[in-house]
Amino acid sequence: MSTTGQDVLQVLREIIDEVAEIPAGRIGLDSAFVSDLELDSLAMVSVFVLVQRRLGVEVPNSVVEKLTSVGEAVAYLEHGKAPV
Amino acid sequence: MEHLRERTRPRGVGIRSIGRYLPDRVVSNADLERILLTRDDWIRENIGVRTRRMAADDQWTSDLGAAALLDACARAGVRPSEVDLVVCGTYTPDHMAPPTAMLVIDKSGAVGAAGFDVNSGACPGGVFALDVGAKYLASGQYRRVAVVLADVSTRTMDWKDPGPAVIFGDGAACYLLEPCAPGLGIGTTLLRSDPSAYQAVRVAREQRTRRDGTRLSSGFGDNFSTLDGSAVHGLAVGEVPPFVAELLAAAGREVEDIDLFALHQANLYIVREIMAAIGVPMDRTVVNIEKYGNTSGASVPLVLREAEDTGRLSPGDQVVLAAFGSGFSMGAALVRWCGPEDFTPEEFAREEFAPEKVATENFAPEDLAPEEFAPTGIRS
Repeated sequence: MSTTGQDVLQVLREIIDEVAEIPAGRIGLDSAFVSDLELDSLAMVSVFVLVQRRLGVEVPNSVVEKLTSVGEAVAYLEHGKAPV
Repeated sequence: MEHLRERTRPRGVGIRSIGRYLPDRVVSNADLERILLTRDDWIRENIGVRTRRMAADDQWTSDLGAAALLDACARAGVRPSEVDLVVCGTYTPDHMAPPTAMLVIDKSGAVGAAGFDVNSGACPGGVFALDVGAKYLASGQYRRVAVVLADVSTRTMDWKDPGPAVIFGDGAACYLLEPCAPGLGIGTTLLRSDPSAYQAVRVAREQRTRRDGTRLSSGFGDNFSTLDGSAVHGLAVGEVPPFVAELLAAAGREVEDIDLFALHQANLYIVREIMAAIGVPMDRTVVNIEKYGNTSGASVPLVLREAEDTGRLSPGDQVVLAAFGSGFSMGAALVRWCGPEDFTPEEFAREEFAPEKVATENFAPEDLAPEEFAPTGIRS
């Protein structure tokens, strides 16, 4: 993938704002999807539909379910490394 | 009074037939992927829906309901004009007034029938509206009652919000009720409502806008389906099994006595969890949510119709109907399924249903002290 960590984070911020109307300034690498951003599984799917469209990376549901924070999502999108 | 009391002999209320109508337009999850931020695999794994039906642009609730009523009449071999009362359970009326039942009567040719709507909050209608119709029939004043459950739920969608949009489908069903032999037909019925869960699933009236600030509308203007999936899941799985147990206890039945559980099709996994909590294998229910989605009040009668068509439901079977949803309300009924020979056409003798006689015989003023009926403040 040619995008850098900063690029991926910025794209994720824009997508989360689009899906859940959360301003980019509130979203950091340590933001938890559920407890901080209050994204339910339906919203998480919406986020990763847009990730697929914008970054061309298809993230399987089995992986989406394991991603608990923005940082983990960035790590997966950059290196394909899913949390265990 | 003896000659009058004779006419109030016990009668059962049986489901003579179930009619159905599902719009032709099939919408797959792949179709939804093109307009919503969602995925086919997520919908299948979390909701259990593969396809749903959507009414044509020129079809409204009354069109679906009238078609279901006509189908019910055709299956029973009766003319729509022989229906005396139409109760339409809907939360998506063609217009706010008159009731949708008027157009169902007009479009189906149920001329001469009286009619009104029952809005029991969409999904609970499969039992709530049935209970209303059953009690009217039991009164003896009506010889044949059509309880129509019809909704165009897809017209209530905000197509930016995938939550409700991936779940609901349009459809209609009709219970045709007739007197049956005592002890058969619709038995113990329980209704329960919990307004503290008002927000869990509802059609909210609110102004919504797109990101560019332009106004968003559903087919019902500023009214949009909205639901809290985890709240509905918790209510359904937590409340419905003990409610069914309560019904069975009230009717003096055991879970093992029941041949079929006809559950509201809220979500495939909710149906599975309710069946597991009741302690019954899935082969004692029928599901249709995979192909029709959640069809609101029509879902329970559509399950019954499918069970009948596939040989899963036979005369004499004991059936539990359970409908639940917006309110949060739950309705459950125990039904002893009737065959054609269980209906009692002799009950249709003209004088049996003369309203003035029923009105006389249903009241027994001598049994009641007059003061019990004096409204507060005007007692002498």
